[in-house]
Amino acid sequence: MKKATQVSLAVAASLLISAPAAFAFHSGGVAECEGCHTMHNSLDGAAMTSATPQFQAGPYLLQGNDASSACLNCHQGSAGSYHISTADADMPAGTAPLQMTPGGDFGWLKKSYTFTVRGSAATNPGERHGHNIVAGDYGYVADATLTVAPGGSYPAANLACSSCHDPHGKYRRDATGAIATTGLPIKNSGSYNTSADPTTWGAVGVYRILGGIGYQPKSLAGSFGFTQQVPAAVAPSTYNRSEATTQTRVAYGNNMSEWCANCHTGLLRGSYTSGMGGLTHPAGNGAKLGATILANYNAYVKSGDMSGTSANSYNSLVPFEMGSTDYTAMKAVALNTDAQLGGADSNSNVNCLSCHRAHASGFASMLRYAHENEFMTIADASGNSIYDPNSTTSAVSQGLTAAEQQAAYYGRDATKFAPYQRLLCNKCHAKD
Amino acid sequence: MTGVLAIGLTAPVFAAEVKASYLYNLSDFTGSKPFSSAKITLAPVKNEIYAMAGESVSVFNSSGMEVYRFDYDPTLGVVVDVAVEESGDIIVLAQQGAKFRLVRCNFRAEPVAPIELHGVPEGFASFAPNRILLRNGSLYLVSMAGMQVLVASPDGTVRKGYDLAHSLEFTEKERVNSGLGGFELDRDGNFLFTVPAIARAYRLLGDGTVKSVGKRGSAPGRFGVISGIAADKAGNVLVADTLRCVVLVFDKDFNFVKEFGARGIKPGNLVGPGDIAVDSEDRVYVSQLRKRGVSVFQLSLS
Repeated sequence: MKKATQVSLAVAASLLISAPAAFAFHSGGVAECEGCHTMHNSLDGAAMTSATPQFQAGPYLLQGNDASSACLNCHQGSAGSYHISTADADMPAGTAPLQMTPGGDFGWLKKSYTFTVRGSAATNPGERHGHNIVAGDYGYVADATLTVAPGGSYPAANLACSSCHDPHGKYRRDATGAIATTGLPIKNSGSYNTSADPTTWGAVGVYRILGGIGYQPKSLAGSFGFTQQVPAAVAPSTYNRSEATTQTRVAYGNNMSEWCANCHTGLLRGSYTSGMGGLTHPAGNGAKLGATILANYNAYVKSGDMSGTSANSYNSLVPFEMGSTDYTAMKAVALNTDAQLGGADSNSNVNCLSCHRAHASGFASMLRYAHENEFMTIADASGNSIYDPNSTTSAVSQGLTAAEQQAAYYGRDATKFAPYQRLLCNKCHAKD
Repeated sequence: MTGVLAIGLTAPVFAAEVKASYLYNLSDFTGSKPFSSAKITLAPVKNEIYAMAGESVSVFNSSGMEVYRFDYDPTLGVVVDVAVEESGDIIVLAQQGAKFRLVRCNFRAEPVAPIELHGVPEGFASFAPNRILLRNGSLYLVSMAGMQVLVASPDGTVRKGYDLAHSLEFTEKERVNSGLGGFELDRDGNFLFTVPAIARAYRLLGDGTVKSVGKRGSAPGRFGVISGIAADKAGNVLVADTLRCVVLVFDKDFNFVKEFGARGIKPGNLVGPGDIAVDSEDRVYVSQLRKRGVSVFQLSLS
């Protein structure tokens, strides 16, 4: 790959074709109304959108067939950027979905695998890989197995992007940290390490325009209004990327698990006493790591390697919550450069996203790593760690090709793990 | 279709001169092929249409009937795109793991020889193409996400590299936040491409001049979420709009002419149009979502 041909980059200054400055659509709040709606479906004597006859718009004056399809019109695409779904044609059999956002690619929902283990047929259904949003145009259908949210009653048939994200982005954070649906105007997104801070005259959007207390999509009948406020978190401004060389660190502050419990109420476990019965795995603001887990997290590198330190032990496959709403502190570590890999401290707690991805993953239960077998990797003849190339008769691969496994780990080479690496539950529990 | 430039984008001009009539969907003997978001490649010499939408590549004759299909060969990798030479050989752009490779195959898609790229310019070290076109003896490899194009000889010698993000004066962050929605060459070899993030369609001429068109909106002539782009034999530029479910037609100076399609399930309706292509007979191939396959329209100019 040596230089032999001059790159043609020069463009005449007279062209004046520079890109419009605004690339953001939501900008932390409500976007251009006409991006999603048509008011009368009539302009200059003709229908504005040909989706419906003149003077007749879609439901809620939407231009799309359903809410999630309207979102995916923009958010499905080529790798990178703000895309969170991959088209079928771009992820044929044997290849993984393209997006590597912290939330994951919904395309994994369409990746089902069959294989055999010790002669018995086994499956790894795509339906189990994530939140089964309903987006008819894009081939996403409701979860046929879990018809309501685990631990709650939110109906799977109504699960949409707008179940979690307020498409109108009304929730805002002001300079005091207070969150409200009105008040100061939203001047920019509040999701990124590069986002301007709220001021005395302007608020910023909450993390990922999530819905907060009282939120319920208009299209959902019944009483499902959120009782928990939006979480505090900050993402690096470039976040949809391979982590082959450096990790994408989202700074989770607090309240993520409480917010998830808006739908998964029965799964929240912020306070607990080890050894008690009748519990679910701790996750919540009160689920502090404790001295033993904290020491394990900061020492664990991979199976058999406990040489880590508190300065370099962060792992985006097992992120923790900082137990803080200090946005300055969160912005300082929300990087994609590996410049801030500091581990957990006494304020840190487990949250749902310590184990799960919010959208979807390559693994069952939308986990960040494999868990249906004791190993994540195997070894080659020389003892080097490799992803299992056997996608037909191996419990380790769960039907995924080696390339798919690597993509599911966001591009990490298998040598980032030990040969015969045990599951990353051990990042906290160190039983391997 | 020439000489009139000072016309507003939303004012249809020459509307009576362009007509798009629905013909059929690409089919096999059981009916319309239920592709979703298929990529379309034309093979003018053979009068064939190639459609890729997952497990295999389907080949259709000029009547839109599937005549051949090849499944992915594990030794070849996953077929990302294909281009067809005059000889009938198929150049396959395949992906193996995180790497891409070019392989010349015979007309049955049986591998003949790999094509190694030589002389890749600086700035293209992480170049990862996902589209390939073949025009006038040159291969055009396009990275849609990276907004870069390499032009190479069929033996893999790189002749030139284009960084479209630089051409548009994008910052690196803007490059990451945008990407291409569609890429095609017009009959003069100019680049046509779309950038959905800013609702704009471009033509990059050989001398480096860039022309563009696009304004967000729902009215005729405006862009919702655009994707594929192509040109007919008169030089008109067609742009698919996934959100508005139409194909917009502009003249070669980017004056809006008309649009066709409409969301729905009737013949001629479109659901989420994506990739498009126009053959030498001005037949327009429009790929859609929702297993709606590839619809074919006849464009006629009067």
